[in-house]
Amino acid sequence: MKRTVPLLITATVGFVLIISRFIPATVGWGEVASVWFDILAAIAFILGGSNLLKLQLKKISDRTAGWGYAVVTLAAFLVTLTVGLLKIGSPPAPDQEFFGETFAHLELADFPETQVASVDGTIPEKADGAELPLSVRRQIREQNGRVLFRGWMLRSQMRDLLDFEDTLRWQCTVERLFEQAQPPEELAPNVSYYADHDALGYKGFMSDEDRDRLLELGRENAAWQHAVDEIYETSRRTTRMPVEQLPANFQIAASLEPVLEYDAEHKELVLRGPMSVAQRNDLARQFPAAKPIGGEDRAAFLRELESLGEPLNEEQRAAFDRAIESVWTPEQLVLALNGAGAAKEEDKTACEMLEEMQAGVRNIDPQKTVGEDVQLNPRQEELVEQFARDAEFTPDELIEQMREAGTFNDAQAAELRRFLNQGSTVGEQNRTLDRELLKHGPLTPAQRDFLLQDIRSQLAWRATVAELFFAAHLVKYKWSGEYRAEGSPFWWMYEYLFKPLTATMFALLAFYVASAAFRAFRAKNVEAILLLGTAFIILLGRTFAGVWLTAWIPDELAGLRIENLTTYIMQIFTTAGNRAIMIGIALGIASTSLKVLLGVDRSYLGSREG
Amino acid sequence: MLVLLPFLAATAAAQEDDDEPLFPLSPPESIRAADHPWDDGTQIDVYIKLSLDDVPEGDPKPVTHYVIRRSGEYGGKYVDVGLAVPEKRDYHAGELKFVVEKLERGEPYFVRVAAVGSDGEESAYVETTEPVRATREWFSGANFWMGLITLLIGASVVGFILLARRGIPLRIRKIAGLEAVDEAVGRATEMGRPCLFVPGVQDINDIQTVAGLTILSRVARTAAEYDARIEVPTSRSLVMTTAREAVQSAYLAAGRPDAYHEDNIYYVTDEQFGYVAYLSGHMVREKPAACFYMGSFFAESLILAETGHSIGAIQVAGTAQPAQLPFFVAACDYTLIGEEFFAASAYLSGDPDQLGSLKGQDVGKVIVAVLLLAGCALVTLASPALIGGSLSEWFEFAGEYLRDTVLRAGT
Repeated sequence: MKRTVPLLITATVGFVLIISRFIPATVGWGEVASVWFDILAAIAFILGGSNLLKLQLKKISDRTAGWGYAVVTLAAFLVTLTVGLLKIGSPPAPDQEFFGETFAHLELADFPETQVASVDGTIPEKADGAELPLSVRRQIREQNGRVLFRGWMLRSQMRDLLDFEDTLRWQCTVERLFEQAQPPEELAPNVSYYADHDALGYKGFMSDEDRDRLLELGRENAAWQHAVDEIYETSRRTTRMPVEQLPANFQIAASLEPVLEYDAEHKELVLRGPMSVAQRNDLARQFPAAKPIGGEDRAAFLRELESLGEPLNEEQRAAFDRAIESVWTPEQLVLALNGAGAAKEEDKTACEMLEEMQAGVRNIDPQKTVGEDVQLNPRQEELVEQFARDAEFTPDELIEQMREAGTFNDAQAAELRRFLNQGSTVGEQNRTLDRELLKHGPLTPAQRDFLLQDIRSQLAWRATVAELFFAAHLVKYKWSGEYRAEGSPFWWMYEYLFKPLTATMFALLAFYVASAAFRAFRAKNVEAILLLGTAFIILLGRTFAGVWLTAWIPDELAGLRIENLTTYIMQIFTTAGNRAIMIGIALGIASTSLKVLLGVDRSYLGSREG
Repeated sequence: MLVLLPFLAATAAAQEDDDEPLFPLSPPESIRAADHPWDDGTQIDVYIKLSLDDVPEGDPKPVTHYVIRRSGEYGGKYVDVGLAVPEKRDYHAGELKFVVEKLERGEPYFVRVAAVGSDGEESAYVETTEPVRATREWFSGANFWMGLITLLIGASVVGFILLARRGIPLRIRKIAGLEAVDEAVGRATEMGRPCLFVPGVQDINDIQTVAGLTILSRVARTAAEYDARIEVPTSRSLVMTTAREAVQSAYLAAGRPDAYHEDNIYYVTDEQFGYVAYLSGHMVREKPAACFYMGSFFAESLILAETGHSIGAIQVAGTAQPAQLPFFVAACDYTLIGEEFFAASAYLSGDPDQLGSLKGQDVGKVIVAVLLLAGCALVTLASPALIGGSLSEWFEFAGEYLRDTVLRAGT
């Protein structure tokens, strides 16, 4: 029995894997068998680990030769296991943390009845019996010719439902359901329900009004009331962060105005509630974008730089000009703004297409044109030129004046900000300049300080903002991160202990190849001489010397050039030999597998011997 | 098979200007869609009769390709599923086949096809008006040839096993590496040093590891008979437990159960170079007299074999990793190359059942040789300089079929 059961399992799983290759209906069985093997191998690691512990402890206890190595092995094993298993110091996974949101546990069953959405329609039945997507399965149902959805539908859930069936009627039903299954309008921007997490979520700092509105949705529902109160408390947490020096022209962005203030007395930033990624970026963006510098401004900048040390040499001057000119140009900005102002092609909704289909349109265009073409007029283009020249001209002022000078829509305003944000700041540009100048000559410490002062303040400010961002965040899933995430203790051990050690072992291979080649290529018989000759050609053919030595051979006899001989040997002789071995191996594998599956060869289980 | 009528867009004919047609290109003459035979129910075939403007020559060609779209309902939203470019043989047949993939089994699908010119302009579309559904068959046709070859080889292995059981004598050539097993273990016994058996760095689901363990069983039995110590450090937990079973049984079979020590078969680490570091250090310290490397090896092969050589051990290696064979050949005393490694179990046991399986393997070699010769002949005969005309084309097609359909089946 001890041998028969493993043999039966081996045979069953083996045949299932073979059958699943040929019979489509059994493909899933093969996958399940593979998963089972992985589970088994994972559990078996406990056996291996305990065996390792036992042997090393025995060595230490018996004080056998080299027991000190056993101590090191044991310590390394235990430290790695502990740090890796407990994910010590690993940050949580960013996509699981919902930065800027506060969660409270709320079961789907406790979601208020008032918030169950419904539309006319039916849930399609799939021919292959496929069920609704997992992300919505608990929330959606059909009742009396209506489709009901419990909870507020997320966009990702809508996409999953749209993909469920490829008919406009169903997709229109989903779109209407999505519109219905949303929070009340006043709450919509901030509140969400994540059924996968069984969590009610709220973005930012919860006001008393929002709290009352939320409580109103489920007056008699204790779980709901509790969840809302919990979020109310948690989302109003205050975080204080000391700031050594605020950036010049420090401004609190509109997105942070209600929740962030600077306490000048204690030199602290005071944040109420959590901070979202967008808010963090807004706060970090306190430094002016680099603008093209030309004419007299450029000359003045150069004079100032040179006044702090030696004059730049010729190559440095050329590098200076190149670096300064690598910033955006007014023409590029005009092009980007005109592009953003062009009418957009947008996907039509399924309901719009369904309407067209019912109206008898034969070839439905899935896209529609939205908006009108808005191009900059000459006055607006002039303003862009002016903005590029004037360092004091701010983006907000530009937007205001562009609107006064002609049509300038929101998409163009957003594009203007995006264009400037994706470019370098003044500090970043000067850092590039510093690097470029150093490539071509020396700079004095004073010159370098002059160039790097802005980026130093920028980096220090970013670090402060990052600290505030994480301090204001309440971790939701502590163990959701990668155990060897960059910067974690496990990563550190892996990068700075494990990798160098394995690389050292691997590097030994170079010496062993040399010693093995020395023995293998000794010309002791005809075969060895052939081997030596072939190896000589291949080695030489892969070096520049080989190519150079036979470059004189005329084109008519180019096949005799050593690099061509190398290619010929590798493609013809080596490939042929390799394939012969591979065919033998493939047949050997087939035969051995069959023997194992049929139980003809059981020696690996010890049966034949026992 | 579902045959469908072509349907030209109503707008195509009706909205022509006086001088210039709305669509400068002729659409495909017709299309039909049918379930892709012998598949898992995720494909349908679309047969496109080429546009009248589509000719094989021309620079630029009037029709460069056909665009295929599908929808889940007639007249609904059609989405692009691919482009089809006709080849030489499609022009001969006047028809092009396109396989639409990643469909849902049993769901209705409608198809539209338009010809596309070199300037990117599309013709009017032609469409199916009846739904076509992808159905799942019981057998995967894409793996037909693979299945047939597997069946032939499997049947021949089983057939020869049965013949061997009837007492028909089977002879196999001597394999020096396997003959050396007794010699190596004997040497270790004489020198009073242990034997080291390394079963590779892969888990038990790798057939090379299984083949290695069958050899371990034999080596362990010899070691038990000679009263030599055998050590088996493994890099996988499951290999450790299986190796323990094999060695314990071997000691039992040799009548020396008391000499079996479980602790001689132990787990080191899953990490490739950690395992190698341990083995190298262990070999240098313990100086085993015989080293066996039987299983799947990668970069560690030469490190192990050279370390073994440096301590003067007799070394026997076997693997089915072609890239590692030259290293073992250079540094070991005996090497089991590819199929010899898999034949080892049968060879060492001398069991008629297992020897029969080796003979069955030879039938596989005959099949390979026949296919090899057929392929060479077809490719040679397909050369236009040799025969020319439609016969050459037929040979070319046959050669391509052999290469792309028979030999690459299921890959």
